[in-house]
Parts: sequence; structure tokens; C-alpha cells
Amino acid sequence: MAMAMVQALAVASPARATTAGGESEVVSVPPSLPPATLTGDLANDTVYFIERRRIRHHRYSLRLRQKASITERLQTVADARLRFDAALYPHGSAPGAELPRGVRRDEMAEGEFRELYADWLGDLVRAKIGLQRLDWFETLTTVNSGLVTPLDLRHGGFGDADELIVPQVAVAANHVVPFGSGSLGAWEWVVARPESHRLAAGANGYATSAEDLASLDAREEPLNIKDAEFGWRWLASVGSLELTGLAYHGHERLPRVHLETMVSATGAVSDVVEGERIHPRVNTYAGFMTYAADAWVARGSLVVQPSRERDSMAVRSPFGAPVGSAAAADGDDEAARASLIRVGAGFDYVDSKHLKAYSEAFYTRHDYRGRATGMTDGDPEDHDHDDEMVYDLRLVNESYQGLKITLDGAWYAPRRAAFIGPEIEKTWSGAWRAGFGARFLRSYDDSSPLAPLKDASHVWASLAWSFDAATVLLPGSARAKGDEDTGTGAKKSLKKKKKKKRSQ
Amino acid sequence: MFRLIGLAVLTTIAGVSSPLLAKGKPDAAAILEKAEDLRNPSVTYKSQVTLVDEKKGKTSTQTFETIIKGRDKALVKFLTPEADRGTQVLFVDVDMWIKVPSSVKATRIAPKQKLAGNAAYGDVARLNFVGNYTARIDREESLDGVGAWVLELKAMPDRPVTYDLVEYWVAKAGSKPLKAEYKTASGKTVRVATFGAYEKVLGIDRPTEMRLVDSLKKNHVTTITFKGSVATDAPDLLFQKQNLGRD
Repeated sequence: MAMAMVQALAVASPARATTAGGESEVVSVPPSLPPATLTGDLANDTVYFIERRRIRHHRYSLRLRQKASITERLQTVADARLRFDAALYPHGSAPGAELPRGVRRDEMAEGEFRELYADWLGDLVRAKIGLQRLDWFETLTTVNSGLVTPLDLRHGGFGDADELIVPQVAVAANHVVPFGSGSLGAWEWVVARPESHRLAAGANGYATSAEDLASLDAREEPLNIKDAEFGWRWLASVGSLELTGLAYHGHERLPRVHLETMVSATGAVSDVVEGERIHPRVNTYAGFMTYAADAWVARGSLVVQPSRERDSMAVRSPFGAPVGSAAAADGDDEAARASLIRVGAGFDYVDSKHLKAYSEAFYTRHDYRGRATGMTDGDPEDHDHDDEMVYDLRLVNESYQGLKITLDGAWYAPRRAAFIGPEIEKTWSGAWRAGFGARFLRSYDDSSPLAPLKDASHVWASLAWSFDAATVLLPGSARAKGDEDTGTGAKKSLKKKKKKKRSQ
Repeated sequence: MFRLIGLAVLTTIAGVSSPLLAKGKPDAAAILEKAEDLRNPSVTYKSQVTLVDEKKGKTSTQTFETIIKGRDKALVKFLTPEADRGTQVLFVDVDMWIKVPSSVKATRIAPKQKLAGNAAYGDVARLNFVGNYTARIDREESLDGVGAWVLELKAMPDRPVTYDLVEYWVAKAGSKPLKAEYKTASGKTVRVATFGAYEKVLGIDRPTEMRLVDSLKKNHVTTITFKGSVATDAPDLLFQKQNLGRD
């Protein structure tokens, strides 16, 4: 398919012919297909778990991305990725050979489209239809994104948004109108086939919570087309101030577990006989503020989920009718709900390549309410709450051409946990990129957000080669020969000019 | 005899000053406006931009496509090298954002931030002097045999400019931009730019090359070439941060 696309690209692009005088001129070629670009990345990344002393990943990936301009306003984008993790190969000496079969089946070899959509840009409206990655939160990390956007959490949630955000089939439209000295914008989107967070298929070395969910004898009700989601986002910008509002009618991205047990004639409660993992509906409302002053940017956010369904367990009599509800693992009954409110503030300094600093802090309050087991009607509701704080900091230095040094850090309170992640990335020859870094995790409380990942501290290294797929796959194509204003063509053109100047 | 000398002096003075008296003192803002209109047309247009950086005998090349709408909107798309392809930079009035392919969102950067070599992002986006600097005529000078006004440009407060002070040579005939010295707020020259390679672009002779030389390291030269400029239709939506990343 890639070869066919590239050949079509070669036919469609304008060609250049060299005249007897050595000058190049544009030769008209009747276009049979719209102009398109096909670019690619070939990469390897290796992850070594420090405390477990083993290689966890040795992945090879190939990514191809095609953009075609059907008309001046209409484009199509196709982005596909193939990935193979040699560390999971079921060979005796492979470091991941002893991981559960389900994990190896899920993670060893993957092939998927990351994006596949049509993009139309009008004077007032832009619309994207198809498989795409959506993220509506203006935050440094994906801490807020995960409330609305499905994420790939199989490997601890590490990585950039490009890797973490799970694509969904959606129709998204945005439009902007001038308003006084500023502008008003609005987005609407319908997610036709929503996705949930992607969790590990078993104990894959990163966390225990995923394996707990996976090992429960509970069938999962996946989200599908009947569970379409809707969102609206508004933006008002005046000068350097930007205000955004968001309302999203979606689903819980992590599954909620509903279990049923049986009570015998003697009153003994049996083991779980039936269970299901579902993704209940949840509404999310959010507001963001950004103010930029020269090299400083201040950010604020408020996210509210007023009512969320929680895990539950019901007990049934031998005759089928429920006799009441028993406490689930977290001590709540079937009617229990929760609400979430999260307040965030951020401050960025982006003046120069020598130092860019990004920081943000979030306070999250979970409110639990509902009747505890055994209480009769009329008793006051139980009420409890949970508070969390997280502080994030990112420092970036790009003083030297082609070298980027980044330091990420996070601190969680009151259940103390810390994360620190230094990394260095070097690019050279315009196409090669090498990086290495580490992620150190510490949890000082068994119930902290990082507790499940306490054994997952690791170092990593990566090497990637970016290429123009049309040039690589079809070196003789018109696109590869022509267009002296780009890349190596420009370099050769400059050398020719210099040679001509010297001879004069 | 003194009467004759006096008459000669008066005639000379009248002869020298009459063109100025006849035309009036030129308006610095009008000169700047004309010069910038040549350098950066007010129509919406796109250009293929090549940046060649030569330093200590080594050369590196980057190419971009730039779409410029009016004097306050510019979209720069990185074409080569391959590692940078897909990166886009957006200028809207005082704000500037960059989006790299691996990121879903755009991040804010400062226009004075260096892009490559001696060039800042603002140079590739052809950030305009008009609306960002106040101008006054400092002196007249002959530059390579061409008579020129030397304008002193001072950055307006809160404008996203790359340099605080600019000394700008504009040819008297035709208001062609010739040279600019970019300075810090203290007046120290940081870079010197020369504008050349005049060609017919959008119906008028315009400079298609900008050569930047580091004042301290004279062997560090960055050449920015603008080619293939064509008028284009670019909706305002293209210059929205949320739509960065669309080709």
C-alpha cells in the first residue's frame, strides 16, 4: 500500500527538467492524483527496569504518515504504526518471556492506524472526520486529560501525548468569529465510537491495579457506537487573555466493577458468581484561563465531575431477588456516588532556549456519598472525602543546536510520592535523533498514586531515523529529483551557485 | 565684494535647501511603511523559505513554507530536515506558538528565540517593523553608492519584537530596504542584515534574500532566501493555535 501511495505521489507532483544550459524549469505534468507527502520514522527504544534488573522493552517501530491535499481546502491524513517488542518474544532467553501470555499477545506485536481522517478548512469552519486524537485540556501533563480522553496506561502512563492518547472515531468541528479586539471560538465534537483507557492485559511489570482488574472474573462491556459522546468547548480571547469553557458528556475511562454474589439459605455469602466491568456515563465541566505577558504565562483551571458512579457489589438470594448490598472492596454500596473537583494553577517561563520552565499544581477533592451497608431509609448519608495535591515541574534547555535537555518532576501529597525524569535528546544530520533518560519513582505511602509503580523505575534509550518515504522508497521519482528549494536539493543548489561565483 | 560673497552663499543655501523646502522633510513613518511594503507585501501570500547557516566552514540548511496574512499573522511550516518536518510555528499579533508532530498541543515561545544560526523565528516569519517600531530619520548616508535614509527604529512597548533597536538603511529612490543593524537596548550591534537579490515578486521588485552576519563572529553568516512567493487564500482559521499542525 505504501509503495502504491508513493508511486501515486510521484505522478502527481510537478516535475523539473534540466535544460541544455543546466537550468531547471518546471515541466507541466497532468496531475492524476492530488499532491501528497509521505514521511516516516524508524525507531528503536529500550527500557531497563532498575530494581528488577531486566530489560522490559526492546521495541522496533515503523511509522508512516501520509497527507494528501485533495483540494485547497480538503486534506486527508493517514498515520499508521507497526511495532514489535523483541523483549517479549517467547524465547527462553528473552527477558520478557516469563510475562503472562496475555501480556505478550497484547504488547509484543502491534499494528494500528493512529490517525485516519478527512480535514476540511473553510473560511469560518474547520471539520475533521475520522480516526483522530482529541485532547481538550491545556495542561503540562495528562492528569486532566485522563478524565475525558482515553489514554494508553499499559506502561505506567509514561511518554508524550502522541504516544498516550488513544485515537477515537469522531467528528470534530471548530469555528472562530472576530469579536471586538479579540475572537470567539467554539468546538463541537461527537465521538462516534468512544474508547476507554487501555490497560495492561495482565501483570506486565508496571502496576498491580491493572492486573487486579484483569484477573477479576468479570466480563467487560466495551464502549461502542451506541455509546456516542458529545462535547462542546468555547474560547474567548482578548489580547493576551484567553478563557475557555468545556462541557463533555462522556463515560468513565476506567471501568467500574459491578459484582454479584449469592446468599445461601443459611445466610452465608458465596464468592462472586457474576460480574461485569462497565463504563458509566459521566459529565465533565471545565474552565481554563491563560494570560501571557512577554515571556511569562499564567494558567488556571477548574474541572468538575458532579456525579460519578462507583464500584459496587450486590447480593442475591437463591430466588434471584437482591436482598441488599454488601460492601465492595472500598466499603461502598451500590447507590454510592462520588464527585470530583480539581483546581489547577500553572506558571511558565518561555523566554529563551537557555531555559524554559513549566510548572503546575493541582488540588483534587473526591467527595463520596451514599448509604453504608446495613443502614435503613431515613438515616443520613455517609459522607467522606479524599484530597490530593500534585505539583509538576518541567525544565528545558536548548542552548546548543540539536541538543535538548529536559528535567521532569512531580510530587504528590498528602500520600507522599515523587517522580523525577531527566532526559537528553540529540538530533543530527537532520534526520537522526537519539535520546536517553531515566524515570525514578518513589512512593512513601502504599496508597499514593505511584505506589503501584514503585518497582518500575527505569532507564531508557532510543534511536530514531526520520525520512521522506517518497525519496527512500522511490529514489527515481519526480518528487525526489525535483524541487531544488528543499533539503539536499537546496544544499546542492547553493554549492552550484558558489562554484559559479568563484569561476566568475 | 562682500555683497557678492553673501549673494553666492545665499544662492548656495537656496540651491541646496530648495529641494527640501519644496518637498518638505520626509516622514520617517512613511519611508518605513514603503520599505516594509516592499519587503513584506500586505496581501496574503506564501513563500518557500530556505535558511542556510554557515559557521566555521560548516553549512546547514533548513527549508520552510511561510504563509503571511497582513502584518500580524504568519504561519511557518518546517519542511526539511526530515527530523523537523511537521513542526509549525504560528505568529498572531503578540503571540507565538510552536507545535511539534509528537505533541497534540501547541506551546508558547518567544519571537526573539533563535531558530537557527543568526536567525530568530521572527526573521523567517518576516515580522514587520511597521506597528512594532517607532521610526525617526537619524541621518542620510551613501551605502555602496546608493543614497539612503538611515532610520532609527525603537521597539514599541509590549511588542513581540526580536530586537529592541534597529538602524535601518532605506534607499531614497524607491524606498528599497538595503541594510539593518539589529541592536540591544543599550545600542550594541548584535547582527547586521543586508537585503538583496531583488526580483519581481507579486508584480514589484522586492528583496528575496536577507543575509545576517553575527557582529562578533564575522565568519558566522546566515542567509534567508524567500522564493516562489504567490498570493494565496488563507482563512483566519488557519492562524488559530488550535489548528496548528494542519498542512
